[in-house]
Amino acid sequence: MFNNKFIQTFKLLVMRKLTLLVMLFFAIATFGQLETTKKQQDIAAIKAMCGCYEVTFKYTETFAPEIDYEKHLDYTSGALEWAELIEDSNNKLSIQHLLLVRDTMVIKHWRQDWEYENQEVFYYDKDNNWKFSTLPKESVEGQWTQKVFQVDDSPRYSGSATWIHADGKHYWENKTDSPLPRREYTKRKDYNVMKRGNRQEITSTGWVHEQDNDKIIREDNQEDVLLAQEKGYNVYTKVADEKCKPAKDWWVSNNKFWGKVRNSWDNVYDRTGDLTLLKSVDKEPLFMHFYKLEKENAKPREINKLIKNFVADKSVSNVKSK
Amino acid sequence: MLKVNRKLSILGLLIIATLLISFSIKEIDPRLQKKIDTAILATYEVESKVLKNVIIPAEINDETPASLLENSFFEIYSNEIKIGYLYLGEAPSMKRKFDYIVLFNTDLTIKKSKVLIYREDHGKQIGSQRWLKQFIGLSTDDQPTYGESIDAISGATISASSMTKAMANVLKSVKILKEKQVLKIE
Repeated sequence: MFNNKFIQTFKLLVMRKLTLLVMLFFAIATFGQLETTKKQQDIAAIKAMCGCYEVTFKYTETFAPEIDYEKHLDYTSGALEWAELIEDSNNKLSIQHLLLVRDTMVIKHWRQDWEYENQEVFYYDKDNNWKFSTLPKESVEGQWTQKVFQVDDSPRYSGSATWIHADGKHYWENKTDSPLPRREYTKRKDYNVMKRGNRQEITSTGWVHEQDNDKIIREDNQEDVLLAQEKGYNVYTKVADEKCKPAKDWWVSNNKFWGKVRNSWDNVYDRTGDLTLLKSVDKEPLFMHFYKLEKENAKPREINKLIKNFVADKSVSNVKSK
Repeated sequence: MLKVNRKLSILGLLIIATLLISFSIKEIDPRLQKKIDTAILATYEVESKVLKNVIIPAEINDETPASLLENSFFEIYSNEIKIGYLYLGEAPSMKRKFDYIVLFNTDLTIKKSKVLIYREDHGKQIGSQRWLKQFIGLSTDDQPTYGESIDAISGATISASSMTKAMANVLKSVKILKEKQVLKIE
């Protein structure tokens, strides 16, 4: 009698535990699947920015806290742009943008790297100085870091956020500090930091890069001063890849050289703390020096040497190895 | 007793001197000064400038509708060449006062006017050059009138009419300075 009751209770307990175990297994599997699906959606959104695009660039100053600030003229421009996926690994995608001017002239433009749950970032401070740091693991869960680089693959800005796929929309938003944009780099001296509000949304016709930027005056040991705000609206409309053929061909001819350049930069970026770059050496900015090296398809040693000439804080470089 | 009297006299003199200084010299706030400097350099497109205060005799100041006391009217020089004149004034907005400047060419026509510091949220539109540019080119013979020769601004009536009146008074005052030969036009 006692034995039967004991066996029944034991069986019941085992059954209950088994049920819980099975439920837990399904929960983990479903969650894992959801996570994979979400990550796949993210990757699809990032990759959707690749291809040939007609681009319109529009910027307008909106608000300024001081009454005597005189708004600058709007900036508008347009171009054909080829966006090539140059790296596609499990947790990193890299897109190189190339401008096509007057249908034939190709200009290497910006590059955007996307890294999943990445902890290594750089933030612009001021005076051509970036601070390299490591984010806590828990703060980047499910997020993608966008790292944006100049035409010469030197840094511009980076920021980490989650891709949102909801209500039929696919977008990524982030706010981060950056140097002055190229369109104002040589023209403006009344502010020295741009706090960029970036929003990249994939649309049915391509994608839109919307910006809400703050033009900031930053000085040591003082609070940032907001000079003016601006709205940026860059529309990328997808067109046939064939239209960008000269840019595609240019990349085939030049990608090996720029691969070496990226490798050289990776050694420089392998650090924590400051990275200060000189604005010019021998009266020329870095990208001008690269024209010559690109033409010669220079070796890594020469590329390293050039980049090293522009790094102002040599004493702190390569303090950390990955 | 004599010592105490002497000390009291010195103290009295000191107090009077301090009062005289504080009433006669109107200090320009550093923030305002910085804005004035920026406006001059940008308007005249020069890299350096020197401001020389134009001292207006009290009896002439009594005749002018705009106050021309110390630190109100200046000659502007760049590389020792006179490039224009500047009037610094304040005018009422709805509840407070705002600071503005009028920048003149050497022939005393208006080169530009700017509102530099505005102290309330309502009526800030008067700072826009889209509206202020209406004063550019006016001479001392012109008398701008709000709603007639100068466009009205909906939602900023008090400040916009106040600025127009101030500009008319500045032009009238500068005309008097010219007539009294305080200012000699080259």
